Amino acid sequence: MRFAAAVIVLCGFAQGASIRVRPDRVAGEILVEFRPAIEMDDARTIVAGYGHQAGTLVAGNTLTVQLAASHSLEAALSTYRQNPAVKQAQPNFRYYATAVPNDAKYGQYWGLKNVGQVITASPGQYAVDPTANPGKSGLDISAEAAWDNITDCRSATVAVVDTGVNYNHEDLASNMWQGGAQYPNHGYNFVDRNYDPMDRQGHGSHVAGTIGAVGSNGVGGTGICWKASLMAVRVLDATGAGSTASVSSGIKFAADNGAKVINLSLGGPAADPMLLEAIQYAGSQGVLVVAAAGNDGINLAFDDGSGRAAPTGMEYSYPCSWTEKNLVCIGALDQKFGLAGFSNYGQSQVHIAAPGVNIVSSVTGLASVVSDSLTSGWAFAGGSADTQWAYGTQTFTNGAGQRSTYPLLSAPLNFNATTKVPYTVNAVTTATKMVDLTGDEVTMSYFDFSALPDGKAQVRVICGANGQTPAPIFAETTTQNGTYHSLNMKSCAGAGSTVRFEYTAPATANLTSGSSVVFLNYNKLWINATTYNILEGTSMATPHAAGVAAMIFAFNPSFGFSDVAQSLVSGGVPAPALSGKSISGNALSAIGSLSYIQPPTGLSATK
Amino acid sequence: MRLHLFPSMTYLKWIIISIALFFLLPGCSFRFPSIASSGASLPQNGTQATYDPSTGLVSASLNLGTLEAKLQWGPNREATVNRTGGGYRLFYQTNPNVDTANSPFIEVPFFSGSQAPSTLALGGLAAGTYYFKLVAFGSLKGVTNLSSESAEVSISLP
Repeated sequence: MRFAAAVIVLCGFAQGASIRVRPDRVAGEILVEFRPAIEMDDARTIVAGYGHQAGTLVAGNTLTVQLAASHSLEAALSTYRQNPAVKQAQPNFRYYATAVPNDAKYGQYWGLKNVGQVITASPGQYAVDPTANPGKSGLDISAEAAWDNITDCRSATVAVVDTGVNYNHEDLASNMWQGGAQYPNHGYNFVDRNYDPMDRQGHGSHVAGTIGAVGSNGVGGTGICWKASLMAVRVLDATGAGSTASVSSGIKFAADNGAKVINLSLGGPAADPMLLEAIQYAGSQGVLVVAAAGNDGINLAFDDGSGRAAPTGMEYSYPCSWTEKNLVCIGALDQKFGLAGFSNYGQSQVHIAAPGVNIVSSVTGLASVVSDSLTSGWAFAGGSADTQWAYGTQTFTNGAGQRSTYPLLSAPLNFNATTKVPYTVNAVTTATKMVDLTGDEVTMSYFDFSALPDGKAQVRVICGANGQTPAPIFAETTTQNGTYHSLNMKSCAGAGSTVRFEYTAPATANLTSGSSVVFLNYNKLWINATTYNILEGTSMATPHAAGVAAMIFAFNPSFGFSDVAQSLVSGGVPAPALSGKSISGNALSAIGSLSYIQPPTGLSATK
Repeated sequence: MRLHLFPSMTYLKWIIISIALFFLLPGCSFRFPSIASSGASLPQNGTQATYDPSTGLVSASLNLGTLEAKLQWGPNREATVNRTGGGYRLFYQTNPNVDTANSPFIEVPFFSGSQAPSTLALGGLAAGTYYFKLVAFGSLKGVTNLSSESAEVSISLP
């Protein structure tokens, strides 16, 4: 899911245990390793001198030492450690089987446990990214070590401010936020302004699953939080697009209804004042906002000396280009902990990075993409020969300089070489096709471009379900650089629907050609409760961090958002790929974040 | 309850021998901080603060003299610091730039309630200037995690 320049676009062993209370060390016993020059008899004499009892010789010069009942373990350790005859002293720790969930798909969750596995796509799933697949064993967020300490994050509600959440999904249903009778579907829908935040796209359910898919229930995969409170806040529609109004309202809703963490796997290029105000409001309510860095592969700082130019209008990606204290910005890592090629970065904007490539998680249903070949089946009509649609091809060059030729539909525009105007001004011509638009949701995506100056050529999309008179659903004036569109076709859904592109020639211009449509896809979705899929993006990295943030909140009840943010960022592990490209240079670590302790402050000494 | 674990005189002789052996070992070193003003050695044994439930007082003594200082700090909020296995270590020296890798420390562990102590009445001090740094610690599954050190403070006595 790439960010686009639209308004705001998406860019078993211990089941369900809470904090473990098992003893972590053998009571009243420590291990003391004496320096090599110390004879064991002398070592035993030292131990006896402290009033303790020397036990078994563990290895080399290491003895087990049973402490006197009146002596605390910590004090005894301190004493032995400061005895010059002692090399080291430590508790005799207890070890337990590591918490591993029994979910069938867990083996594909490399971000939680990377064993160098190959991530593979099952039938019906999106293709995997081969860049770093398989990855390198051990490069993950160390979730299992964290699960030894906490798996239940329900005390820290996470709001998924996104395309909604499939609250009926088998791996999400029991971890949804309980908002009382007013919110029977576990959240709110700011797209349609109702109480049904069902995910009609898939992105939000994937995010939710990474944060809090039910863990160790033998079903599907697992979230970072095995038990969670997931608030569904739908602010993006079936095409993945939202607005200032929907997103800012969603953030405030989450803050007003008890969320501790907001996952914001979305962004846009505009420094939207109302979005900023909503994030600040969340901060005033003690809420941490975890946001995606964006998927443009650009440096959000532009001060790295590379001289690399950013695409026009994309020098910044908000919210990550803001520096609010309750905002943590997340980049994406691949399976070898390289910075994903699509991930934005910035040494002053991106705090940390987390797994974001080939991420398996729950989705809202079965999705399929049907691509139109653009080589047959279209009926061309209207106007005159000089303005009619036709099949054609266009060669594009990608970022690596590779050229590829694609079929397209084109509405030519012949003009009088003398008068410099079209032979037929204002001519209206159409390209029409009958297509299958069945599904719970259907969207149509395409890219259009024009050789005409911006604003000179108008293209409308007209559609209708079987038996209905087709009606316009979208109109635009095409641009020379081209524009990617994703349209909701719900009003035209059906087995025999009509899709029509309508081109209107300009009234007058010194012009030579019309507009073209290329990369035409129909995206169909059948909502169910059992589907999982593979996605990539900073959108997928962000919920890894949001899940760990919830874990930190739940583990440390006295923490505020700034404490959680610091643990997230400072508790990470250094990743060379992030050096100079992020604030911390760290990759997310769940156990590192739980273990992180802030340096004490306010120390004073008085008489 | 203060725990004073320095060995009895019977074994003190042996300890002196072992210290001498230690310094003869290649690659080993051990630094004894000293009080510059008095020349007296700071204790090397582990010193743990004690807690008096009746008064709520957390105290420790260095047994160098009769003077006292009050140490205070802002409480950490980590759960691991504020439960059994957590607390603070107060490192001290009589010269600036307290080296927490080698300086002696007083352990101020979590005793009870909702927080580890954030005050310490440090007695048994001799005249001189003392420098302090504080480190918080907590334990997860038997692994003790330390914070980085606090800013350094000092006090001159009397």
